[in-house]
Amino acid sequence: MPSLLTTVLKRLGWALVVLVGLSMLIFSLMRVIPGDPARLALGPTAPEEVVERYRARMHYNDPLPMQYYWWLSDVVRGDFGMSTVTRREVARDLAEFLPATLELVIWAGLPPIFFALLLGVLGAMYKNRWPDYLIRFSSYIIIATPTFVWAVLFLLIFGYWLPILPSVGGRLSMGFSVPSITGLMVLDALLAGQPAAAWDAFAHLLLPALALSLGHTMQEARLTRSYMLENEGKDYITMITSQGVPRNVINRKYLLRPSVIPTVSIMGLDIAAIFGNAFLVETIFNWPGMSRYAMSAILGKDVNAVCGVVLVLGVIFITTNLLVDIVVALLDPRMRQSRSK
Amino acid sequence: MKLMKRLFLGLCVLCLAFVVTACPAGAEGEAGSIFRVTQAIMPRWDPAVGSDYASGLVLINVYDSLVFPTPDGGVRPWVAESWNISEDGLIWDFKIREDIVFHSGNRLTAQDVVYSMQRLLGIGEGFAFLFYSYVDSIEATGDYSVRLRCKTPYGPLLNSLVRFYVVDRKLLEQHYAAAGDYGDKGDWGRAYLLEHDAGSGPWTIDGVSTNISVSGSIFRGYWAGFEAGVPEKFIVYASNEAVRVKTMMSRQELECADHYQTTENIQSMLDADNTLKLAHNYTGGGLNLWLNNQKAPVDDPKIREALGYLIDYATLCSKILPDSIQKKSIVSSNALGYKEVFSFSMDFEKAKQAVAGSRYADRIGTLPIELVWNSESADREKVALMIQATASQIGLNVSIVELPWSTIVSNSARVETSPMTAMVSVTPPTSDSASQFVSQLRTKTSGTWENMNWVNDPALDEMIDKALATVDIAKRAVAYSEIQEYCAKRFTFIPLTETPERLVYQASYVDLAPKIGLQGFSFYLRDVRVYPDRRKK
Repeated sequence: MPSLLTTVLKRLGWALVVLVGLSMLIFSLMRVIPGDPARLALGPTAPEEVVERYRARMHYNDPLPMQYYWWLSDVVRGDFGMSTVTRREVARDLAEFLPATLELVIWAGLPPIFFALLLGVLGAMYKNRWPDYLIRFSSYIIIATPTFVWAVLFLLIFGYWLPILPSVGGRLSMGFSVPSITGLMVLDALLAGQPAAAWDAFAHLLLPALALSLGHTMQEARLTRSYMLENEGKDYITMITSQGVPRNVINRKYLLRPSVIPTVSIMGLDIAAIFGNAFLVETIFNWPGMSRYAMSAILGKDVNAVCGVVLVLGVIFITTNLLVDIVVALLDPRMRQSRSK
Repeated sequence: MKLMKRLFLGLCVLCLAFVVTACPAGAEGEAGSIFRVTQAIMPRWDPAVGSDYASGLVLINVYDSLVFPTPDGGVRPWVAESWNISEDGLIWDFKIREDIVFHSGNRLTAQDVVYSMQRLLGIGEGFAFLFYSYVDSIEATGDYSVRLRCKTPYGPLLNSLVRFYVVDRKLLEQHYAAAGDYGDKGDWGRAYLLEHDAGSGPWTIDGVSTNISVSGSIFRGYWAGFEAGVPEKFIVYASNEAVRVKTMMSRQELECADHYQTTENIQSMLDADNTLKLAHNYTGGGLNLWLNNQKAPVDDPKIREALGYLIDYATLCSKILPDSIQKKSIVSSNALGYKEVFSFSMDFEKAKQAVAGSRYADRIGTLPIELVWNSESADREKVALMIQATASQIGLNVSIVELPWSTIVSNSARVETSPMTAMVSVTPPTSDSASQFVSQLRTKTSGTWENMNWVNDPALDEMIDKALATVDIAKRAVAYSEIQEYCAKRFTFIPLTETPERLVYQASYVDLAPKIGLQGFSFYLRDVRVYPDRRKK
């Protein structure tokens, strides 16, 4: 375990380097893409004196390294600057929008965890029989279809043709009001003793979360199935089977556990992909999250907001992968041993 | 396996329970007397900050302007019940109504009017551009009288004042954030106005979900009163994704779709539900072919003229931009002093003659004409392709360039980077032609997306300045006509269409008949009627 701690500390050190690199890259990119950020912020008709005053205030006239210095010196104090899109502090925007995206990603992350393993195991158990064919065939279609297409399709099916789920967007219907405790609406509604609001929040979450998770679920189901089948042919399974160990014990204890390790690793990467796909899904569902905020920021060349969002995403991605590495290490004794050596 | 079966069964029961109990369709629809509309972006209802369409929509409903626009393009008394102009046209005295109360309960006085102008010019955003170069000072000459002094005589001032909204001074002064860019005024109340309003208008803001929506409810104490049927509440959604808009309209969760919806989506909504109807409002907005007057070969008026004859206006107005009308002047047809000065129609012979008379006649085929269109407006590509195809008929080599809007805006800053030709849609903020002359033709304003024609003509600048300084409306209208004729002779740019706002609305329980052809006024809620009892159950 001490070696695991050392690894984690090393990874955290590297994470800091990665974050600084990431901030430099995104800051430079945002500055070199076409469009005068001051003019975009104030509009085409703002008098030139006003625009010039704004440029000076935002240090846009300084050389790029100096601009980065000003920005970074504020960031280390927790000040991400003002957003030109919302006209508020970016830190405040992130605090407001991040929980909505986190809630969406958490719910979108649940189906891969449960259903990917379930479908993967089913596919392996019924290899080359109809359940396996069905899972494999549907996974081809689902994986090949982009997430935003699923989002639009779900909206059409469950909002337009079968109007059983909300289409207005947002996190709650009109008339509900839930005090913010954790920022996660379903949980907050339950904590506040409002089951109807929780149910309503869940209904708002369902379609965007489903659209986000579908592709990843099927991708991971295929991976689980493949590793299950690969492991099934190994000598140790043959040996255990010959010893008369019941099939369900073999499946659960000796086959499933080693087979899910690669899937769990992939899940860590998928979290980043879910955040990426959320950009379009949040726009389609009018979800008040960080990705939708980032979309408006990118289109409005809102440098501070984009840099803030990228940094937060970077931290989330690094943290998630660190956690996945720890989980994998706990699942796989070989990794623990290799670290201790 | 038993576990799997139980899991599967449990999942089915959960799904069934969800479908039966969750979110009955119309939960958002049974909202009473409400008017909900989508927009492309989040409005900014601080009068010193917002000036785009969405902001204008909220501003006209939440604040009162000094004067109010009339359907014929003029103005009528509003917060100012009367006014006088000095003989030299420099001093304007306004008498303020004494019965106006802000949403806060504070009474609106001359001090609020003075404060509002000082705040607008101090912050300098929003509609400040209409006053920035002309207003010298403003002072209260009594509790309900205001004197505004101009730097030079400024004829269009009255029409510009329809965009001057009065804010509640006392309320804002109580809510200055200490950390701000305006000295002792802190942030001048900007942060407060992100989540509240400081107006006296017929509706008051009661809910803000940043980047998502803003809602308001009726202000029963409104001095001008209400007719029966006006909506009790409004919501503006800051997102207009086509499928969601269509879905919300079908579920009566939206009373009106925004005018940015594509022709295809509008038709699809109308085809799917015969209770939906289309309302039109000609707000002077239209499509123009900007021409960089300094770049060869379009620096030659004859080439610019030829381009005007290469456009199939009939197809443009009926198929590509339905319900549009051909624009026949450099200003919109509802603007003061409008004069029909162009008589273009698609005519290859006239186009050939024009090219033959140009100084590039012998080598025109070797000089590509770059035509830029904004990649965020899909319809423009169809127009570009049409021009390219017709131009090729007479040997003109038009190359189409697709650029994102931010790049077009950025490139417009300098004459060298401004596109040779570009299709740009403009909606004037006021009904006075002055705003269009100043923002589109004057040398001083060159280098914006509204003025990348780079006419750089001192004679034209002088004509515009002279017209602006003419306070007498009739004389100013004549001066405006002369400017239009002057530009038409030189083909400074080619006007293409005047395109109405096309608004799909719930005709079964909403009356939407815009009366004022100005940006945002399609949604002036005192002119809207909502009948909740006529909603389908």
